Amino acid sequence: MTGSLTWAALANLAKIAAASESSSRDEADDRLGRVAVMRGYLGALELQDVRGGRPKAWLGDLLVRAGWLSPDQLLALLETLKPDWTACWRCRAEVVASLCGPCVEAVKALAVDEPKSLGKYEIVRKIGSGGMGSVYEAIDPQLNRKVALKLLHAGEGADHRLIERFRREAQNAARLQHSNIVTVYEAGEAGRTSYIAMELVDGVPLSVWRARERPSLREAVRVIEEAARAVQAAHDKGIIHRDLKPANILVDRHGRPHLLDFGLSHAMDTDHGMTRPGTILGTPLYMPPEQVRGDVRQMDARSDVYALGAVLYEVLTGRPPFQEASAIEIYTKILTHEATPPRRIDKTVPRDLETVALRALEKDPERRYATAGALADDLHRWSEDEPIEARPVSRIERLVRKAVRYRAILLPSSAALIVGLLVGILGLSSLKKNGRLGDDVSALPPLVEGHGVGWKLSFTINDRVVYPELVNGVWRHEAITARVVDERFVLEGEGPISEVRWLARADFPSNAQLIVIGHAGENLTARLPIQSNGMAVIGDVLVGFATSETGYNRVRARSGQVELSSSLGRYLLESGRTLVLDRLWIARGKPEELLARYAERWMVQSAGPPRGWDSWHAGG
Amino acid sequence: MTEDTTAGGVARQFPSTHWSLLLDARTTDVAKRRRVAETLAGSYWKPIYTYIRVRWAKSNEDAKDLTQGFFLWMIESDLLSRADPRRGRLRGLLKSALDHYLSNDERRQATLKRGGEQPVLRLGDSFEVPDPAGRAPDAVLVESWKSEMLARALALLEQGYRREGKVVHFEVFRSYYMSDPGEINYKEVAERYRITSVDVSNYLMDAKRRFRAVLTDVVAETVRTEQDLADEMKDLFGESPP
Repeated sequence: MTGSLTWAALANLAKIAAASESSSRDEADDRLGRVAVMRGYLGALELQDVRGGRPKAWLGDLLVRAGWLSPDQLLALLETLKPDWTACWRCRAEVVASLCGPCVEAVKALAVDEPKSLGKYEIVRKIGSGGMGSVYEAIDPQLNRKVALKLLHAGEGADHRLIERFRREAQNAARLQHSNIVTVYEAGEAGRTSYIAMELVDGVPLSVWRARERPSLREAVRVIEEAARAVQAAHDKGIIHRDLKPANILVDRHGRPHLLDFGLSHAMDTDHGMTRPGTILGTPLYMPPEQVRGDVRQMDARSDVYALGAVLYEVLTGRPPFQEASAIEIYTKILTHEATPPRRIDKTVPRDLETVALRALEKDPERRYATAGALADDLHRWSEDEPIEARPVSRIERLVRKAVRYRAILLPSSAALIVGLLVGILGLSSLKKNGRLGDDVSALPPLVEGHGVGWKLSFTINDRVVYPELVNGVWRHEAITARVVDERFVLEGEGPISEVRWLARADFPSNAQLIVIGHAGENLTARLPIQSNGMAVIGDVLVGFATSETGYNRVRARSGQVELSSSLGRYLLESGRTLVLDRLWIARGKPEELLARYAERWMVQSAGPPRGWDSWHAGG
Repeated sequence: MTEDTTAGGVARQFPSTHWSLLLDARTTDVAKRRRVAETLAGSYWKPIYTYIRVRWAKSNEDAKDLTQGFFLWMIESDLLSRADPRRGRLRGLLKSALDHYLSNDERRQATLKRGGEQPVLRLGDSFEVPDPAGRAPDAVLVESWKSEMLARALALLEQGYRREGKVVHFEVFRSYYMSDPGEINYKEVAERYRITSVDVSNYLMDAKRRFRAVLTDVVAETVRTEQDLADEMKDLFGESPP
């Protein structure tokens, strides 16, 4: 069981705790947060939630906005902290009081009225806030029962159709009555606020439960079995979850699971529903291949079986089946890789549980357990020390499948244009020699080369740049052109780039490389082992591709990094098509500014899968 | 598709802080007091249980019953109303209450009888306590408390990173620090997650910084004043908070 902390781990953590280096994000903010915790306004978990992803805002404002403190409480709290501080807590101007005059006014103006009631509900207290709204403990006085009231903040371009769909799904979900499924009581609106009233569960997400309680493997498996039976009960009523994950499985103090958001996948899915540009996308760690492909028609009960398998896998190994730094890489892995057998990660994992997890994680829904109930049955058999029904996949079969999958991806693409696929094809000969794809390619250190003015982007494979077809067309965007120069495919432009840093990951042979040469001020070349999906994290340089055929590219920013993930690679992998890359952007600047300027443009809404999507068939 | 779900999901088992909870316990409302006992037991039974086991060399089952009896007794007794709500550390309060509780042999026997029949509060079914042989009970309590705080901080760290989509940050931290000394190096971690060694170093630095901050926040839940917090951090981890 990887859930428990070993003594070595504890000793390491204690050492980190004792280190004298600063732990400070912002000393004043840290103090304010801790004093609020000590006074009992909120706990460490809520404090983290409030700060999460908003490092720039003043914590005091965040606490008030999130409803944990009233402006008056905040001012009173600051008053007690004053003696140690000579700068205004908010704007950092030198003051003798805790806040300068204008800031006091600003804080008072924050007054977000904590609702005392909503519709017929009496609000007791706030129990959390999430991306889309706040959650309150409330009382339904008519029925005299406690409920969790999830509020959706209206306004800010809330789309009526979305609200309508949200309500419809909630009504649908309300049909589910099961002791292991959080009951949705009703969805409604009060003023401009939409809400869902649901059962109030005294529990924590599965991952937190495992970290805190360190349950035995048997106990954890029992929880998953119980969850799987609940999933089956919902399927029996024709309701699919579509977004099962540890965070959606609350475990109460008696070790019983309660599934959240059943039938609410669209209403709750911030990626589909109410995405705003710039919203940080979560990771699709538990998503089945058919969902990654956007193949909604193929999604059925077995998609939930996959997700349960992924949760089981994480319980067994301590990590999700596929784990990469970005969503797009996870997508790729989900489509192209088999999960590492759990026993290769942890030898103590029982063989039968490995078999169960891998069966549930089969890429082809036909090969998975047909129902969540069947999965539960096998888990039960294991618990009872009975033989399970699933049979392990033989090593030979695994190899055959792998070969078929790669052929399907690589061979049809005879004249692909984009780097990833290009390298994939060219790399095929070396692939045969090397024997396998998926060799880890660690990033090579940047190699500095001096050249003329401007910058160049060239692709080299095995020291030889090939693919003249590649340049039959010329890529143009503003001042950028692409052409063949001395057998090199070169992109030229005028924008100065002083630093290009590629964070490289690759699923292709290590001798495949994209070489980027940047000049101006500091001349620099970085070798980028190419990956299949055209995605790169490039310091503060933003590079984006778009084609006439792919739907969209996405950008996300986090802590000073801009990361672009392109759906292009995913599409290419699946379609095996030839594409003409018709736009290329390169920009440099502060991530926030770049985002402000480009995010909108790149967040072209996908109206569904790109054309040609259906033409792909795994295994041919 | 966000990693952590919202609807009801952010509800947590524990109320805001355990101090406000203890103040809550000064009520005549039986149901409320019971809820307080359950919550306290849910949060702190491991250290308390370990302490009882070592201090009185009790068997597993006896120690469980006593642990359970303790939390009930604590709510029943007037101990809480005598505690100074303006100052203090929860660990100290629980420990002195525990000593007080266990000093009454008769009560212990009674508890054993009652607890043996039917558990009143539910404790974890399965847990392992490292062999505490030959160690001072006080030291064992501190160790166990420390572990509890570290484990909670680790859970928070993971949750925070996941929420921000920085799964790899956490995994790098876990791979590197959750293994035995010398078992894995930067290079191996870098290879595993396909990042550079420099990234590993940066991720670890960020994670360590965050871990210390989160740990301090977690400990803050168990104290009342900044001075208490500094003392508690020093007592537990040998360092005052930044």
